[in-house]
Amino acid sequence: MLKMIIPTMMLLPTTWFSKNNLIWINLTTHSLIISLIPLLFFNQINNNLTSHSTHLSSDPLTTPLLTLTAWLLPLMIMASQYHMYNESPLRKKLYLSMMIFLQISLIMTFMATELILFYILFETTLIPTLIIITRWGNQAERLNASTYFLFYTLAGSLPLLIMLMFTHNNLGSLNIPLLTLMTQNMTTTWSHNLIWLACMMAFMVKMPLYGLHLWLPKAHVEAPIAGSMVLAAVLLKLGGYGMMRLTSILNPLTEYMAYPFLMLSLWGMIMTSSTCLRQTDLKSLIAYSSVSHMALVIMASLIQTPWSFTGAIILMIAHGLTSSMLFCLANSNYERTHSRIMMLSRGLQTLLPLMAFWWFVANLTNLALPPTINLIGELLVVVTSFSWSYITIALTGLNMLITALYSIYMFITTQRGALTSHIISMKPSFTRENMLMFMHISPIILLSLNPSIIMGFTP
Amino acid sequence: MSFSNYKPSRLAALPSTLDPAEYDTSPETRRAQAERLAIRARLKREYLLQYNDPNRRGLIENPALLRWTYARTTNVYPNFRPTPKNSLMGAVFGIGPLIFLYCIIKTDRDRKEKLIREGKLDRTFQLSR
Repeated sequence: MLKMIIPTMMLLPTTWFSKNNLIWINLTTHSLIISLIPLLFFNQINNNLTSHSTHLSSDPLTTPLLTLTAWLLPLMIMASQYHMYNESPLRKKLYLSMMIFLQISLIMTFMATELILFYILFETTLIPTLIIITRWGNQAERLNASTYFLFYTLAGSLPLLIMLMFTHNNLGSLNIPLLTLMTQNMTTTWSHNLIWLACMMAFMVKMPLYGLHLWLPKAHVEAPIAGSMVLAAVLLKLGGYGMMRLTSILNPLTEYMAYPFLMLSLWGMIMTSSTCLRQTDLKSLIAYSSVSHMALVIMASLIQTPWSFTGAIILMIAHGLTSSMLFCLANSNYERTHSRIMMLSRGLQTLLPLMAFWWFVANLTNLALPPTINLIGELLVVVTSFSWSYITIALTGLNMLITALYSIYMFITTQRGALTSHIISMKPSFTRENMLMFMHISPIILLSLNPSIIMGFTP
Repeated sequence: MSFSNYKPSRLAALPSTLDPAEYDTSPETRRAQAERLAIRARLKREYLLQYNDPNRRGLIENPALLRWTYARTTNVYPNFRPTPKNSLMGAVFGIGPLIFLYCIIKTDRDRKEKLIREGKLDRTFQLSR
């Protein structure tokens, strides 16, 4: 485990002591090498836990998310090169240090054995993200966005701290493998209902659930590209990961308490997908599509069957890569036209055909085309929710339809049709951008060939 | 002289030549029309000057478009005022479906759980878990 944390921490001195013209090369190369390390964790002897130290361990739920996080850091660094070009070296290094600090906290969050360590690092991830959004965002609305982001997540997670203390007092330890063996007898009294709510609210806000999702479009739209990528790909999955860990101590109350959140997820999927159909802002469309996909994950985590957990994990990985790729594509548009309005950059297929291919593939994976892992995740979630109750198929099926609609709408608006007549100079696609898109799509394609490694506990 | 039976529809406005009000307007209306035409012509001239400028490299900044996007995305809540129609839409599309879905799914699941507990549900071919 140290073989991952120490190199990531050492990326910080690498940033500060590199020569100014070598920062990006050094960091990208070293973070790519570090991203190969979690691949070693995939070979696990049993489903229980691979313990790396007394405080850090990895298991089949953690390892895919960890690999996603590690893979994302070189991608974030590559994506930020353009808009950081004119900043002073000090600011560049500060930006990269924020990203590396975020990466360290994320790695340790996903590996934490003890729930209190998980909570501390969960909160720690907020700070670098906040700094990235507030300092390097592009519009004046970023202050509002970062306030919403910070306070929604903090307010949701303070009850969780209290509940973790309480559970620690009751059960004696918050060690994750031990928690699966100890049970608290949760009945339907008011206090136990409140305990359930307190534990789950932090992750509901983080995922986000439909009623509490107000921070997400703001934060995603106002963040710079690296901030958007890491928010969409990893930080949302922290919520899913936490939910899947905590449901083991909250039984059997989850059956009764989960209903409001299941209804919110079911209806929220459709509402947010429909909102996507009438967005003017491209990044806002991708942000709302994130909410819609995450609603499926919330539903899967609350139903708590083995297949649904598998579907949730696969969907989290698939959505992380797809959303991050869509944000990179939107950013490549933004860098050229300096505007996020979809109508202003139409018909790009004539100008940038290779980028049109990446747009096409990203939109296809977003609408869960077979045989990508997006489809496998969605299919597992839809099948388990059907077996939970027959009626949900109407809503999840309608959601898949609307997802296809807005993905194709996004593709057609930006790529097909006539070029807008006032665009006279657009830089061609850089190799860096094509490489970025390729590095996003290649894990999806490779995982479609063998998804059993990200299937989590069941297969 | 009778005018044609052409009526305006939702997607096709009545052209001004078929509108009887066009043929007996007052000088004030004519002056207002001329002012609006002057504003439109000035904006179009500014746009065309930028559009055809050989030294332009970037986008033409269209303040009307920026104001429209700002109004659609960020400026919604400060101008929100709860009206009867607003509240009805919120209740019907926001809260109603949640309660409706809860009632339907709860009764369906309770019925299924009861059948499972009594052992009457045929789950011999149930593969999904």
